[in-house]
Amino acid sequence: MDKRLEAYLEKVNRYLKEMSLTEREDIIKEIRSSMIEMQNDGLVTEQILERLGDAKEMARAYLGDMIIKTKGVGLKKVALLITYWSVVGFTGMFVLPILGILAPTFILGGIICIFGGIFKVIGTFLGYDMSFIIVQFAGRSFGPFITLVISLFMGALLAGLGVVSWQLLKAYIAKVSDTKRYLEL
Amino acid sequence: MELEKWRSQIMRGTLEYCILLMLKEDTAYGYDILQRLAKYPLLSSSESTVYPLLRRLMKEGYLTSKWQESTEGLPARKYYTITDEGREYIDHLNSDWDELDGVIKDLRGE
Repeated sequence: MDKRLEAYLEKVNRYLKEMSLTEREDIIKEIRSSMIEMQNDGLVTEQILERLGDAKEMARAYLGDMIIKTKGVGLKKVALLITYWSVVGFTGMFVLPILGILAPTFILGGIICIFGGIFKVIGTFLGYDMSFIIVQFAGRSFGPFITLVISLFMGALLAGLGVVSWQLLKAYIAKVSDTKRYLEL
Repeated sequence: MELEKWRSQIMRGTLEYCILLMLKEDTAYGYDILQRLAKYPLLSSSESTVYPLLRRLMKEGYLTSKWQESTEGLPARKYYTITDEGREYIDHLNSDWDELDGVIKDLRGE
């Protein structure tokens, strides 16, 4: 497509920056579709641009409803914002550091645990007794193979917990920013 | 100038009614709607009027839309379909329009 038409779309896109990405993409796609239809109908770039009008006006036509909607920063909205920031501030104080520390620690711990078990078995084969790698439970310690089985199991469990913490952390952050975007509209 | 203003005001008030009536019979894509409106000089409008309007009608639940990807040189087209709420809304608009029509006839002494 003509560079001037692409530039026009880019300009409209920029003026629509307050809208969500999906909405913006949809709008641009529809205008682009119209441009191609006009080209197929034999209109030249100048005629297309003239019909579409100023890019800013075009964007404003789309934003029209939105501006009216956001104009009233009413009491309800203020209350919502206060609630939102209180909840985010309070939960964030715990959720972020706890999950942020737990996730990598669990994963790292799990990996070390698994390697420990493997090293112990390899060491046994090679004739070394890696006495610093032991599994103790209720006052008993175990031989290298049982140690391996237990360490694989515990390692997987720890790593799994780490992954779950990581997912929770991501979900929390996503939820917080989604809600924020929703409130800002 | 006054006449132009009056026309643009009528247009603004009735355009969505006209578009809904068009979509009542069949689905249509944006450019097609524009071309059909262009047949009536009073209603002839451009993308910047009609597309945001279609968007608003969708947000209000009167229309749904679906993209149809391109075939052989044609661009992707966004087809609009009227919903049951849209049909109900048309019924209200119809009765308002009939009432207005009656008022005008009455005032003109017909």
